[in-house]
Amino acid sequence: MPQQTHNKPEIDRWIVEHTPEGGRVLDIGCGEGDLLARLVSERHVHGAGIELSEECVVKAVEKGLSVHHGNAEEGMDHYADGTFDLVVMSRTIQELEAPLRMAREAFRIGKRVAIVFPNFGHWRIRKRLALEGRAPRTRSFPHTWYGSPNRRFFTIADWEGLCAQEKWHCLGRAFLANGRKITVLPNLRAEVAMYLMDLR
Amino acid sequence: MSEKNTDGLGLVETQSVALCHEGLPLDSGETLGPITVAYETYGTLSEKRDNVILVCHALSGGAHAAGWHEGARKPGWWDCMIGPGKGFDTNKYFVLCSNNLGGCYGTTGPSSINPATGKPYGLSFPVVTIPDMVNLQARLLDCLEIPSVLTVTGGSMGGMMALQWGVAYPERVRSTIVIAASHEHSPQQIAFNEVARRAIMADPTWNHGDYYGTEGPRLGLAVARMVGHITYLSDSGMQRKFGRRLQDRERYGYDFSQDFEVESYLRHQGQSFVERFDANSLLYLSKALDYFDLAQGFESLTEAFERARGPYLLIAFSSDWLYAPEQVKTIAKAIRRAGGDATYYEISSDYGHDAFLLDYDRQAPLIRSLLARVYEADEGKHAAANAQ
Repeated sequence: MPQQTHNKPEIDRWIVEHTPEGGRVLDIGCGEGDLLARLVSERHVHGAGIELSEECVVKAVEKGLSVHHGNAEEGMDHYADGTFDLVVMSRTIQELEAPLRMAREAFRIGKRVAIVFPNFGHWRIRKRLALEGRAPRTRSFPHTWYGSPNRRFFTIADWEGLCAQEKWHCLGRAFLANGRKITVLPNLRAEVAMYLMDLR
Repeated sequence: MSEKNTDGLGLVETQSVALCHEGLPLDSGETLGPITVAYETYGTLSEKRDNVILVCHALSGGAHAAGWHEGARKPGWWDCMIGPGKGFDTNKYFVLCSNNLGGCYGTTGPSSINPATGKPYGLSFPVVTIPDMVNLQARLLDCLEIPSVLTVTGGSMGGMMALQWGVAYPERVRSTIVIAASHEHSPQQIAFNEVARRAIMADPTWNHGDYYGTEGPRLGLAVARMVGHITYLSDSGMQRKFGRRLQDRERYGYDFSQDFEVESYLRHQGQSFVERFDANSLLYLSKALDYFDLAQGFESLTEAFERARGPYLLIAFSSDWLYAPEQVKTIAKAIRRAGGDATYYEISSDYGHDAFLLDYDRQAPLIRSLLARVYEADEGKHAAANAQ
């Protein structure tokens, strides 16, 4: 799916850069385990994943990874407080039924949380809705309104508001459009937002 | 060797050894010995004796897990999974399977001759538990000079034994593969076992377990197996396999002979089981299952797993209501909460509990991956140790 590949190399590189060497990492919605396998080989982490798709679980396990086959809620509940040095939710949170509860769970079981999400504030989305009056379809939101796995549509500004409300502390953030970093007007120009956070 | 065997292990033989001459202390407080253990091995034991896979069988299984016995119509019970190039690849690994204590396929059980009396034990055989069975397997490993196993695995009761291994002998287990099993028997599981036991014990020919030399409780044992067999299937699987189809007739008979295919199938299952299994063994083994509680002696299941080492692979089947996915997930959670490494995988299948023996091609890739990961990690450690 386009959503899985657009900006993916840059997103994965950013997560690798922000992963502590030799730490314990949980990837929620790990797919076929590409990112986790890379973290194992490049950052020597002890990696674990959570994944809903049966086919993806098989592929991830074939890469030598430990995976929970199930949903994020039950998968995270299996872990004690502070088990992981880093919990990764890379383009997962917008698909969750209860994103806030799941993000809080991530902070419970992880010392740090990396969250990556597609930015619904991007100008193309605004344009499509404002000028054409149609549900947006872009590189970051490629799905039809009836076939999308996404449940939550929020912007960088929305996310920053939630971070302030929940007192999540930002350790680093970066914004991407078309594989390049964006610094000016990210809420208007970024397709993807990446946050590294802790509870301070 | 016949032609059909060329892609498998071919002919294999059961071996047996006498152990525990001083007696094996049992959970019940009694001591049992000497004990004969029947076992089979497949593949070649490596020079470092580090490629051993211990396979634990389910309730009605035996040491004959794979390959063919001379003149047999069917191969071993897990032949689909054990052999050259299969899930448990005998080109790489040395597979060991022994008949469980209390069974009736060569290891000492209630149908064995009590050396003290010269007669079959019958009900004088002590009640044995899953930990007792595992302790006996540990004696077998001692005897075969196998310090530790690459993996211990099994489905159903065999899965419970694998769980017991990881907690009782963490230093001897490098990984654990548990398929369709539970960390404790639930009231529902105990209830079904009790019905099976009552069916046997209510048969007058059971004669308080003293029936050897006679036909024995054939009807009771058949009913016990019928009950058990229902729990191995799923509602949707039975719907697909039998529906409401009639057996050998066009319309209802309005009598108590058999009408439905499913009735005929269950009767056949019951009758064929009688030919191959000992009723007292079923009593003892079902009781062992009911007593099983991995958390016994610990504050919690999580605490039990604090001792365990090495990765776990836990496999469940969506339509298995005997050892349901929820139970297997409970095991995964306890391992993870104890800081351990667990993979949980749920195969969508309508075969019910039987899926463990049927959906093997979907289990094999995961099993292969886990074994390779653990074996390669060990090799890595050896290489690092040699380099230093």
